[in-house]
Amino acid sequence: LNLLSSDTVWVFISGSDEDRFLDDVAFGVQCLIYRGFATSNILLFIDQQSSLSILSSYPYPDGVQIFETCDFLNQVLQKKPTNLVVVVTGHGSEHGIDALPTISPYKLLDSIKTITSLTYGLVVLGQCYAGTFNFLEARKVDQVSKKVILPELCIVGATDLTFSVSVPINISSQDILKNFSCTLEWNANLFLFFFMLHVAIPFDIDGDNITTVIDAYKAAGIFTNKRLLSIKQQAFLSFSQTLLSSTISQLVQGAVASTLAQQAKQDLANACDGILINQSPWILNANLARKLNI
Amino acid sequence: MVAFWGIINQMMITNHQHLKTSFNFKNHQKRVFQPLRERKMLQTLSVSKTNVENLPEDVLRLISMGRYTLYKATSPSDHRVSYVLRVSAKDLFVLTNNGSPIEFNDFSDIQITGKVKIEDISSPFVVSNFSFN
Repeated sequence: LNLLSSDTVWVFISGSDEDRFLDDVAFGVQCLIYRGFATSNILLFIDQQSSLSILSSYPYPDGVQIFETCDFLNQVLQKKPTNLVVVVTGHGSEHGIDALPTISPYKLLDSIKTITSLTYGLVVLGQCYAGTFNFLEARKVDQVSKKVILPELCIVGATDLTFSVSVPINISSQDILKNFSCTLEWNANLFLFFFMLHVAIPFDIDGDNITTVIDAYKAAGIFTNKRLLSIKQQAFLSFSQTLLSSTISQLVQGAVASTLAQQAKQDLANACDGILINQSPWILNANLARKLNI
Repeated sequence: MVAFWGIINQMMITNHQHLKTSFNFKNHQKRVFQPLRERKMLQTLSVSKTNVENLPEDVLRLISMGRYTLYKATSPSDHRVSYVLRVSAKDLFVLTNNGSPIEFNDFSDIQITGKVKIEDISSPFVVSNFSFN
């Protein structure tokens, strides 16, 4: 079961068009193109939650189609995929994926199960609180016979019931990646970055002589945590110094300026969350993941 | 092949929404996306922090961390508009040419002309490049 075959559709979802998420998607698309995957089988579902039209200026390749998240099921159905991969970046909450409207875990999985052409599906969740998708039914059960029927899903989460993190990444000096037609320096969702990097440059991490979703999951989890652990001490020290020097007394004349200054101070303090948490990736239906080649 | 996988030494940013205390210009409507060949690509512009001297240091740090995004902007109806600062998925501030936030309600004619990188402020965290070595 090759997830780069011509009967597979890759979908990227972001409920926000903030730059870092658009760049996550652009990098993921380039990883697929690097492997020779057809852009016509790549669909992007991105919501523009502000009145800025940033999305229209993003360098997504020709052939890649962009829709709103509410069009997800309709557009995927038209593609009649045998296999489907859904990669989610952007914001998440305890309610699921922040989008217009919010996509609850059950709603997403149930929608995918209604795709009649589908045999296997993989969902990779990079948003915060991805663990809200865990422990749901990954298989489809016939309501009459009560037998398990296709499609069967595998779900990978970057993090459990907590935040996911984005970190500054610069790939401009890397021979393999520097020719990617995307932003080469951005704040990348770390787990998704490593997961998609493994799609572009797969390797057999567990030594079973095949490269599967299991390998991508392990590689992404290992290298995400490896990097996070190595930076925490330094980051915490730097952050403490930053917060200590942070004031809101600077040029805050007027109500709007005061609002911005207050929000910036709070956001800077909130960013400390990232230092204090761990990323605990998880996988649901690992038996299927072992069969899904990359 | 493990050697392909390298070093990242940066600040982390969580992917959930924080406070929503600023303006909220949620404007959900059906949009038609242009094909790439018709799209006008945004340039990244380098700007010194002295050009936006009225922006608090915290804001500059958050821009350098990638948490906030600063855009160069114009408005035919209001010549005070020089920048738009995005602080979350929905929340925006309009800034004058020295970085002062101003009251602004109608975003319909705002033109985004570029993405701004503050050239002389760095993230408070050591950022080393991803490396395959």
